[in-house]
Amino acid sequence: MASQNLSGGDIFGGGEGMIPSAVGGYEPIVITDADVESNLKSLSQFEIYWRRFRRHRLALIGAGTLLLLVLMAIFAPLITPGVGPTTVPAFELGVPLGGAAHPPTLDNFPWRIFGTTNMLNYSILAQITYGARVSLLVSFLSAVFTTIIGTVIGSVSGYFGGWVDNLMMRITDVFLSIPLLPLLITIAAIYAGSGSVESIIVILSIFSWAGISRLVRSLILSLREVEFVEAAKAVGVRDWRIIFRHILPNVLSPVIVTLTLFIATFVSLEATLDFLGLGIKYPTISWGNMLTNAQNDLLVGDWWWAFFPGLFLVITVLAVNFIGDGLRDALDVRTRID
Amino acid sequence: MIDTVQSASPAPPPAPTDALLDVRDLKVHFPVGGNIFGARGAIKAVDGVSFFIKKGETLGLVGESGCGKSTTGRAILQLIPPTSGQVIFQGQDLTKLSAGAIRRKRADMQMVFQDPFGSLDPRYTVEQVISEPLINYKRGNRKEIRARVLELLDLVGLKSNFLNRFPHEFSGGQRQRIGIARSLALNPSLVIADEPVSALDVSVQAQVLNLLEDLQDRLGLTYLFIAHNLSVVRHISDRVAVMYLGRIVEVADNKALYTMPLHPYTEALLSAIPIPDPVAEEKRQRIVLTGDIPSPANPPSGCHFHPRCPRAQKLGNPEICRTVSPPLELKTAGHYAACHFAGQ
Repeated sequence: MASQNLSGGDIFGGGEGMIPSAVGGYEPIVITDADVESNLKSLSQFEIYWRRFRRHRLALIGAGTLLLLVLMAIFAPLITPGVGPTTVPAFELGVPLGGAAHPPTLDNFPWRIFGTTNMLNYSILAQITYGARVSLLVSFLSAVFTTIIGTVIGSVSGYFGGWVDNLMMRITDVFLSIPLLPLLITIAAIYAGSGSVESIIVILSIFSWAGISRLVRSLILSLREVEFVEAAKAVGVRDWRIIFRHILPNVLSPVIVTLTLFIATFVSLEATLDFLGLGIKYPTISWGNMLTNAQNDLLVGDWWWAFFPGLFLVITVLAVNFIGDGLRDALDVRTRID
Repeated sequence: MIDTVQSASPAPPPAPTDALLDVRDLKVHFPVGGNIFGARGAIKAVDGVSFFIKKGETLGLVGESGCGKSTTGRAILQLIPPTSGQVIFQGQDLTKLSAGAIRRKRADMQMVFQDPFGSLDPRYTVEQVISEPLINYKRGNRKEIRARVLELLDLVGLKSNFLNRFPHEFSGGQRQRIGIARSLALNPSLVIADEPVSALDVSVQAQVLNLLEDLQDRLGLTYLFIAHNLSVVRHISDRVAVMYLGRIVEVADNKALYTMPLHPYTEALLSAIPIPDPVAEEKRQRIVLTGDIPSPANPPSGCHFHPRCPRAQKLGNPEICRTVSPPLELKTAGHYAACHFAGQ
């Protein structure tokens, strides 16, 4: 009995999930069609990630919210037909200028739902929808460019090593050691006097990639040493497949998570620049410069002009952070999701 | 006069005709230091290793950490390009083959890796891991591959409902089974097992060793079993090769090596094995080697082992040990040793 056990019986299959037979008995294995067609569907990588992501409720809510915000930005002219952020709606024309702003009300729906600005009675709803275009465009594009720059520099650094790595990492150190906000203020003051969307994107991307390049470099360095890459080579996986199926997925998922978090950072950073008068300038409306314009009104108690752009900023940052959380859990298959 | 002999590496002993793998004077040197214009020196990880493995047998390869055992295994599979030497597998010298030809050849020689946590891609499900070699070499359609994966899971003693699970959900032993299933997917004839059990608990080690033996019986596999644990090697091997600092110092049948070692290094290794018998254990005399294993970047002259060799010390440090590298010679039937004073 004991010898039978040793040759593969109970001891052999002792752990959870072992098959306590077959191996000891040398019986031929019969795989039936039913086994092959069993309910164990093979999952593609994407299906696995999606299944994990959608179990993260907050991330789903965040994704839905962000989708609504993006749709709002894209279809701004349809939401406020005929009324731009700096056009006075026709019905307001009869109202004497120079008066106080209207608080939020359902009168003349929907133009005054978030109230109006003082002096010219612009619709804050229209300013929010059009302002979303600037805020979202700047933060999305800056995050994408930042990630691309950081990933390329980090990959090259990690892959080639040696003096290339040394040079690139010293440059990265320089960029990391500069405090971002004073630098942005200086640069914006010099070059972005025009306050164009493009210049803000360029400035944000050029000075934010250092962290990502370090992340990517460290990932590549550790993946170069990992045994599963060698194991893949040993089972005859071609080089390009190793790169695209083994190395990149393991690099990209932390990078994608960082990208979403960068979007959140840039939404508030762009608003900060605008608020300081260094970013997008009137008459282009962004959530950030709405806050600037609303400063004096806030002091006299007209809260809505500052409140609603602030609210949308908070909602956007939260939504993006939730998505980042969900993506991190979904893409890192090692974390448990209950 | 005698100094000049050192660099000449003698022709390795001829391999029998039924050898599946014949490694001849294999060298793997890694350049170190220097700058872009050239390396200053080289780490001689593998420095003239020769051995053969007959079809269906298990050759154990033992040695201290850093002696070049794993590098030897990888160089045989051409995962690390050898600096020189020949690796004759099924009659073909692998070192002369093109990258494409080596890739085709890899279907017939596979590797089981040491670290069951690092050797499986954390993003791959069990099914993706095991089917990867099958997809690579286009072994059948989806249904056939699925059937083969299930067969392999059964073969290594894992349940079929593990297919969509990830490596981190398994214990070390189970992961090693997944790695073994992957290495067997293509029906290889040679499996190089690089310390397949050294990362596992002792109880699990026995299970995996039994599995490997069992698979050998059923599938007619040939193993190169790399390990640093002499008891494990004794359990599984037909013949054993002992490696020290990039060279093989002794090769013999399992029994011959463990009962009458010819090389002082082997003697010292064997004396370190505890005996599971309190009376015998009392009397066991350990040969304690002094000093650390020297750097393979700057190995000792002559016999690599001479600075630590108790036999040389006993014999009054003969000059030949310091100046002449002893060739691996046939001493008795099937028993090779590289020592000027073998068996003394």
